[in-house]
Amino acid sequence: MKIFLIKSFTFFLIALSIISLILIQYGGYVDYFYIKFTSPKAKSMILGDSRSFQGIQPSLINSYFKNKEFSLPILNYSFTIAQMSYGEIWNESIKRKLDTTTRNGLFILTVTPWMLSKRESDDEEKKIFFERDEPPNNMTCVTLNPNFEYFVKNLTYFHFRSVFRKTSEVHKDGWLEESNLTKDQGTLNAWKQNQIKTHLGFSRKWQPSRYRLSELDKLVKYLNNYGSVFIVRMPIDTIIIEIENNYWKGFDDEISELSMNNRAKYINFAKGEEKYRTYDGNHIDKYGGVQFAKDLCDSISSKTSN
Amino acid sequence: MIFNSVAFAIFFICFFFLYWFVFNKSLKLQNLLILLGGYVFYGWSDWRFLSFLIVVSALNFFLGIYIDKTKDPKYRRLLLYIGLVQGIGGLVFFKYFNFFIVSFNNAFHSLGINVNLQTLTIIIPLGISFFTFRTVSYLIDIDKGKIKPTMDWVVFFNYVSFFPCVLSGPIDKAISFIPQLEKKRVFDYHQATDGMRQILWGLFKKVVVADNCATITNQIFADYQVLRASSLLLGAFLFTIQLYADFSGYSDMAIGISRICGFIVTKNFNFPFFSQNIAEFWRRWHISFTSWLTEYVFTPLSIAFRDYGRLGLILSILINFTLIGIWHGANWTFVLFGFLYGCYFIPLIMSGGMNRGRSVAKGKLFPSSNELRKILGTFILVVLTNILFRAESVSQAFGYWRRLFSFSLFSLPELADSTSVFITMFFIFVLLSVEWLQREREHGLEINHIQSMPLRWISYVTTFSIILIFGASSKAFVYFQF
Repeated sequence: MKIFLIKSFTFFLIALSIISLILIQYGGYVDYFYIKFTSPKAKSMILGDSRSFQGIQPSLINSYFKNKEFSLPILNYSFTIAQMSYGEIWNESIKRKLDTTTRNGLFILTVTPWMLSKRESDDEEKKIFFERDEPPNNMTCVTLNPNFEYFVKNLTYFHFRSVFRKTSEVHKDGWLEESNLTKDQGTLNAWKQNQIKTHLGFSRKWQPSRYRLSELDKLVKYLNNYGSVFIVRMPIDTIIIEIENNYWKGFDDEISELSMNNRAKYINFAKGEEKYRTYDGNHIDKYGGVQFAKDLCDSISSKTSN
Repeated sequence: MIFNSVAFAIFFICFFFLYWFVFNKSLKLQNLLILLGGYVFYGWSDWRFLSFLIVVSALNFFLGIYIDKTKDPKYRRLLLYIGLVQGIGGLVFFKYFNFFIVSFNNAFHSLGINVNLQTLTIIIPLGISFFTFRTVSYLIDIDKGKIKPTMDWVVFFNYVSFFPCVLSGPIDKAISFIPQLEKKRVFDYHQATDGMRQILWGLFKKVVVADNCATITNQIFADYQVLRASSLLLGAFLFTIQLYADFSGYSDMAIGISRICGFIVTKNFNFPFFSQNIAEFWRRWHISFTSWLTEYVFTPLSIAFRDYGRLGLILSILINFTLIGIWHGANWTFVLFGFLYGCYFIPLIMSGGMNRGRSVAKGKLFPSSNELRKILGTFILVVLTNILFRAESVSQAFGYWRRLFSFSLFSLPELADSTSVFITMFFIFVLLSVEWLQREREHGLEINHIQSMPLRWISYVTTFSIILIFGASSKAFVYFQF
């Protein structure tokens, strides 16, 4: 038995070393979210879904506000619509990642009607929500490197073979960079059509949620204690904006009102201008993201000085 | 809980230490721990059926005792029938009730009579086929006087719900398994280390080969109407490999886990792709199930039909294989699947070749050309027949076959993600090569004969790294549904 235990232990140790090595060296390639749970607590954050996950580059914001008053660096703590929606659960996970010693943080909260919707599986009375067992909501330790809690709880998210095929990378600041996107117009059009179909599907199945809106309100109030809050609606394709505006009429007015009530600023980029390049109608690509970051920072800067 | 999950790894590590270090002083306590572990494992997947499993175990435990005690043959028979009706009846109800209703409605509809019997919303208890087969064989063996019933309820309940085997087998008979539960287990280093190797090999088969194949076959079978025949051939080939790697991978893990706990469980696969005819293939495929059917269905049938000579034998095999097909699922595709395999035996029975071709290339590295021809012939037959297993309906299977035998068979297949296909094909090659070299042994990673320890460890670490890097996201085992 003793030899068996020693050998088994040695094997597990080797296995653990291999896993650790991959996580430390290639954490940003083998999983979309893993790296976000390895960085220290954040003084400033970008929150939202895949639009901000891919579309807002923290490094550009950090360099723009380098000599300004905000506590930086800013971390992109965005996920995707499959993991997050504004709500009590998401708020709790943000609190775990936030450095509560900060007093002058910059918080960019991106919003879409979908992030504030009730889904088929949600039961607001019984507090059953789709996002409960998804990262980041199922994570307790959010600053470990390597983070074995994430590995154990979210093993199915990993795609380890990406150590050989680095097509996308999540940077240490949390931004997802998609390299190697196809240039084939046919494929890009098909992706866009697929996004339109998906969003039409959302609009049929989901409903605007007062509960989620009130939780966003609570989050803004909470973050106000630690710095300045900016609520941002990201620029996307006009067809998708139209779907969203038809789904939730008066969405911008409601968010504006929420912002005003909380001394936050609402910056709406979804006005139908096709200024920033998206590759599928829904996500700004990394080149479009450079211009967007500049415009976003200009807006923040002007709103701060007003 | 599935074996290839972190939850199971944590569960089993805790179980191992409690089993060998805390509860090892008393056999009774150790058996209680296995039972408790078994119920946690079973209930983890779906706790609602735990009570069903307990009731079934209790009923069959008492039936076994009373069948043995009863001297009156009529009363004895009645008790046996109660057990069989509960076991087979439960199986038929849960698995086939809706299938019968739909088939009944369709049959009348085709005659122009509108019958609309309602189907029920039935959730099938996980592993029902596997634990039913255990209880049924237990009662029959007691009735025949082959075994004595156990008086220890913990032993019997463990026999029914032994956690490595409760969801997908192997199906052990009471005669070999209950004595293992009744005697004190002693930790055997060689058995345990080889159990670990077998788990590793099973994991490789499941997550590297089967799950990667599944990603490709799902696409091909979904789009079979627009793909080239060469793509369909690739899909059929990959599906057969997937089925084998999935189920034999599960069996390897179940056997390996059992061995670490000190149990010897029936081997379920014996390198079936190296079979030289269909009879040999089925002797090597899902062995615990086919040997169960041979004992309790085929043998009684062939005795009943013995007066009809070869015709009786053919009839017994056709019935046996149709049952094998039906067991796989409530769908006409499975009925046809089993029946076709039964038909493949006919030439073998007529030529007297049922028991030929036992060991291939014995003592040699490569098979002879004749052996290779037979192996390939058998494999192609299996690949083509297994399309029925994967198809959702008989018409889909026929559609698939029709498109498969067209001129586009001689073109290059369309590959949505060619890198994934090449990686998968590479690992299939690794799997088949290793299994060929290891065909005289218990499993692919039984390498204790290699003297060099560093070489053995390199094999383990390489296998683990491949599993980690190339394993696909965990998917449920195909045979859980049965």
